[in-house]
Amino acid sequence: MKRLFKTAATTAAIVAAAAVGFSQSALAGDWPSKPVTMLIGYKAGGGTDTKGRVLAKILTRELGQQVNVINRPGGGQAVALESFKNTEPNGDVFFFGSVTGMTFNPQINSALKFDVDDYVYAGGLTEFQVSMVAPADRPFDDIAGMVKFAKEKGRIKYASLSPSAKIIMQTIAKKSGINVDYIPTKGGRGMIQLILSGKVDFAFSGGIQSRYPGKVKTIAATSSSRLANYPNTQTLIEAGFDGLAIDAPTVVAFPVGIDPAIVKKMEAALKVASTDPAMIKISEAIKMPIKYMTAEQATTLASTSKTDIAKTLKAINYQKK
Amino acid sequence: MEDLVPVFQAALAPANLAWVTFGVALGYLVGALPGLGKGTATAVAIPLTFYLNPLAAIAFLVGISKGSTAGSAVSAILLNTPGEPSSTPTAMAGYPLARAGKAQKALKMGLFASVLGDLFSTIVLIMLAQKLAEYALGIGPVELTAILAFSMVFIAGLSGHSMIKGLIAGLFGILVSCVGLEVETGSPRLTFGIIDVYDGLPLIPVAIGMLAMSEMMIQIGQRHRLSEESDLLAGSGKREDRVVSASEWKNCARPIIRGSLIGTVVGILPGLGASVGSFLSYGAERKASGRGADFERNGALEGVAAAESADNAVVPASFVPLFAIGIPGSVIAAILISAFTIQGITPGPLLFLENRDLILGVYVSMLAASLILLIIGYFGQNIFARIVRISPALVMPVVVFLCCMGAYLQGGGTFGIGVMLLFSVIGFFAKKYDFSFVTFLIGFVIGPSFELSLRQTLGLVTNWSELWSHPVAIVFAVLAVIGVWRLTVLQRRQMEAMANR
Repeated sequence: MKRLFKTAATTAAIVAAAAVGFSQSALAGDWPSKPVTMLIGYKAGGGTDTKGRVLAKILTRELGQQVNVINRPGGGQAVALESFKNTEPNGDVFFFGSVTGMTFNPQINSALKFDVDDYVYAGGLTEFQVSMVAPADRPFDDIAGMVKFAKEKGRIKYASLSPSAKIIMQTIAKKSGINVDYIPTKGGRGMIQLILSGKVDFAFSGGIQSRYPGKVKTIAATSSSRLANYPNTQTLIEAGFDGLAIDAPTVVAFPVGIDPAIVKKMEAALKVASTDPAMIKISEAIKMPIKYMTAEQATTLASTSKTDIAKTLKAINYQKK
Repeated sequence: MEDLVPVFQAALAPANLAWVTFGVALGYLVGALPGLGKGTATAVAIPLTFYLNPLAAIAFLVGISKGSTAGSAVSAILLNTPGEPSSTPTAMAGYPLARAGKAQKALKMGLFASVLGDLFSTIVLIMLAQKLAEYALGIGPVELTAILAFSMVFIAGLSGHSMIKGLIAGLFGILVSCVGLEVETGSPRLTFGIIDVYDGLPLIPVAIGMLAMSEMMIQIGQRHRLSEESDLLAGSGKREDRVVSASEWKNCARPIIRGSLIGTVVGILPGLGASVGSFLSYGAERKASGRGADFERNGALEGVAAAESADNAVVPASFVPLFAIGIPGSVIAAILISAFTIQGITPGPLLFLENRDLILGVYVSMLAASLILLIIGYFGQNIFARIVRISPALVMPVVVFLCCMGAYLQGGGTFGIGVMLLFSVIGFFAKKYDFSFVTFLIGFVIGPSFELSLRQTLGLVTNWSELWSHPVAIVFAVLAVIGVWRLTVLQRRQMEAMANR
């Protein structure tokens, strides 16, 4: 009886191992062997979603299987990322969106149960042109000028479209010793309305100013290196604000535990997508430039971004909610 | 004038008209289905338009939004389930009509009002886009705060018998709208750790729950009356209950004109949306007719006309700030920005200079769409009206399913269904104890905009003397105060009258 049991157990173990082994190798070699899902953490119709759907079409061609887009908006990608974290790491679902969802949001909201290290990054595709902007008629063209303007006027009016926008300005204000009136807005549309009507002097933008040439000027880039659309505009770091940067590239990510072979395949497909004519056409149309990153570059960026953000939050004594 | 010929040729070409028709038809169908709205339909359709030429792409998407706003009246009237939030007043005034056997009449009026409001607004858009947009830029947070405060007071005045209950409902709506991440710092308010409400409770499941599902629950509780009611719903068979008579046209002419005007103005002002337009127009008609709560008890054709002309008028008018300054005045305009940018076109002042032919072509296509809407709506209604003849015992499960589907799609999956169920219970008790959910929904919808513009005002205005440079805001603020005073005085008189009896 004992022997029978032992045989049965061993057989079961071997079968299980073989099944896992089989499924792993079957997946790695043949991924994708059925339609896959692209998860986007924003509502349909936005910038990320538009790009994502074009990418999905290209990937369908490149990977040989249908890529379906699913939108799970909420909390600045938080809803999507939280559910995505626990999905099976078998390549059936991947995430496309701004890396700030992983690097920034968990650091300001203690209720979020995910973090940068819960995901494996397959690469980056585009970059939000995150920058500080001002109405074209304001008498300053760089951060130093803005600080001078603020001190002369006594206060400066700043449109803040998100918590990160406010935090960036709070850091600048604290270091430069200026007084700021924060006017909250609902997203980029509200912000650009206040800028265009001249009701505010300064604002953070995700790149939407490119639609209003001549009416809005870009004062500084808030990324860690200069932006593709504004190569002559200095970054905040260059302007003297050490470590003050929130990079916002759009990345593709899988849950932790994914087969590295799948990641490599996605990385290669992303590279093809970054030079695809359809992708180039839409990048020019919505003025969000292509910035391809390998898996390694994306992973490194996510990690250093998280550390930089942590330092910034500490410098302004940010209380995690 | 000759340079307009190629524009007309392009816009009225069979291929282009085919896309317009497809858009309107698709929109009408989507609008009639509760839970699916023009927002989702347009957003999902946009990537498809990538491969179309710019004119067909824009015309198709605009067609969807027109058709959907009109189609939402169908389910509002037949099933007391607004196909879109802006058709909520249509449900309130139109469903009782359907129960009285006048479904077809109500549907026809809804369609005519929609088309007329839409046509009026499109013509306004064409004539005034550029000029008006420059004025709209001057509407800032200060003005918006005053306008929204006035709207809330005005709509609170709609609340049936008891102003107190109406205010409670309205304030409860505002409270519920506070659920979610606070806009400036991202700190969670009233979320109880539930990530799904970080962006606030989703409107569609709340509305569907409070309106449709609670109604279903009440009806199911009155099952033995169902068979009688199904005969009523089938229509009385009398011709006068199926068509709109000349005298009814006369009665509805004023609400349609007023509704078209209100809808157009609301559409141009950024941030208000079709729901505000339809509620304001409905409320105005309700008051002007002198019948008050009778509108919801026995139904009112004028109410349907007022609501439908206004909400359809909002859509083309909301393109005014979009075309002229590139700022969308409504959710649908915002989604349309993506459609433009995919084609490489930037909406804004340059639009009229660089893409004049395209915009003119879009105008012609929009006019064509209004007429196509009339045709499609007329024939689509017969199909939908037949649904009503089926016994409610068969219809209701389908309605419940559609509601669940809508709540699932728009509310983030099963969470949306949970929200819908919660609010159907709340709506059930609200109905039983006569709390107005008009004011609740308005408080819920307007709450976030009001809070945001109020906070923006506090940030922008550094001392009181600056307020004098905002005359529009002062006017609306005064109107709001007068409104509150008048309503409370009226209330006190009512209470005194009751006490004297």
